[in-house]
Amino acid sequence: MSGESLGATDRVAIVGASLAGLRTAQALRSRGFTGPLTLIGDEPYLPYDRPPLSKQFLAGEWARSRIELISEQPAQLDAEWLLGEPAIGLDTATNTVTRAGGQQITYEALVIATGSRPRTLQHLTTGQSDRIHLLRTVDDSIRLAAHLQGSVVIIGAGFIGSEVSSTALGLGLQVTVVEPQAGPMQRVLGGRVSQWLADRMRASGIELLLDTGVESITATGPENALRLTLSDGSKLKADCLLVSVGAIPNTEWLTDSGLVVGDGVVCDEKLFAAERVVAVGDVARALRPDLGRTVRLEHWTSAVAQAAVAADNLIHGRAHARPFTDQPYVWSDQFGLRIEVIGLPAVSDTPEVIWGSFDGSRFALAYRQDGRITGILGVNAVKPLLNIRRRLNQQPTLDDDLILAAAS
Amino acid sequence: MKIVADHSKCMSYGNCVAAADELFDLDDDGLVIVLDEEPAPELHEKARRAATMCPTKAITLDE
Repeated sequence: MSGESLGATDRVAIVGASLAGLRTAQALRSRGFTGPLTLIGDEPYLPYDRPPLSKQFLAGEWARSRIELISEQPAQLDAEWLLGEPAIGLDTATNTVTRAGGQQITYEALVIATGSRPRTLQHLTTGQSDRIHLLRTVDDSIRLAAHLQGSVVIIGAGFIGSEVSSTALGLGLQVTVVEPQAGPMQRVLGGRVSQWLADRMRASGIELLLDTGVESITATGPENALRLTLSDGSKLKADCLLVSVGAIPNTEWLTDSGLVVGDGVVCDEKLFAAERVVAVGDVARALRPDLGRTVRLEHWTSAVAQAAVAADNLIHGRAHARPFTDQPYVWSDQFGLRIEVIGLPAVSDTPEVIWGSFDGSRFALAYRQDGRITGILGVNAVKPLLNIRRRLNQQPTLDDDLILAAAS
Repeated sequence: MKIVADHSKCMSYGNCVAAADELFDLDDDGLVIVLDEEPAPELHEKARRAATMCPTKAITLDE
């Protein structure tokens, strides 16, 4: 069995029916796989897109139909859809997935695409309140949209928190963002750009409380606003609270599965977690030989790009598989800015302006560690970054001369 | 295969260009330009990749 390509009657089970799962299914069909295909999803919906949930959909600008991911009729995928119930167990010795209701699905090949879920602050919260929100699913977004009123407080200024703060501000709301680090999105932008973004957010009207954590969240009844105590001792009232403090990969169901799990499903550079088992998307912690370590990305583009490689690798077998080598790429739309990041710059890396300027509010930066470029960041710099991405197609490493030439 | 690009959906992410720069570019307004609406068979796989990589489903393929 080992290393073999997929047979025409082999069943592929895909656990996770969102972007990564869907794109893997579509890639399998597109590459000629005609065998049985089963998609298993915990949400009761066909796959829909998540990025608009903090932006256009939350703002009420886009209808539900606009975020659907299956443009063609689902029947054209020729797949069995088992939705509305999570998978709760996997046994790679017997090739069996178990759903919460007890149903067992056996497979010849498996795709793990169970994504991630929001971290909560339940341990800091006293009382129950429907004024406290997380944001991951379309139902979360609908609920949050319905409650966006009065004083809106957002804990965590990462991608989700920053984007929602921009959306809420655009709806004319009073928004306070509480962030324990020194700047918004600091982990991905680095100190300099994070401070630039903080200035921009404040100039837009956001009350941004940096270097500030939350000690407690207290709910005293459905009619009352929430009371927060912050790390500096100050108090904050919230009519609507969004907790956006990061995400945890959904791997609990893989306990005793036989797979290696540690902040995601551990896989090799070809996305194999085991024989005929691949992982794709937010849940996948894949080896990057170019970096000498595993990396888990929560990027939309990675989910789609990995899906194509994973599908090919399952079809052709491990012996003929290719590595996933795309440079990480992620964007964020907020406060009139298109922020893009290529690669994995570390917070401590030194940024150098390679196009535009901070003063002009349009710039591209190269981040370096020990002289080597680790990433590129662009703010309203679509064309220069596109030039870089085009050149990366020919030569996938972040090479010095390549980057500087491409950005000019 | 015919490539159809919808400007009303395009939000200048440029994933199509990154996936298939023989077939796509962005104009000065940042909107998608289809460089070859009926690509040769050897470019069909790249066209499909570009369509699946578009975050706003602005690219569709008539196959």
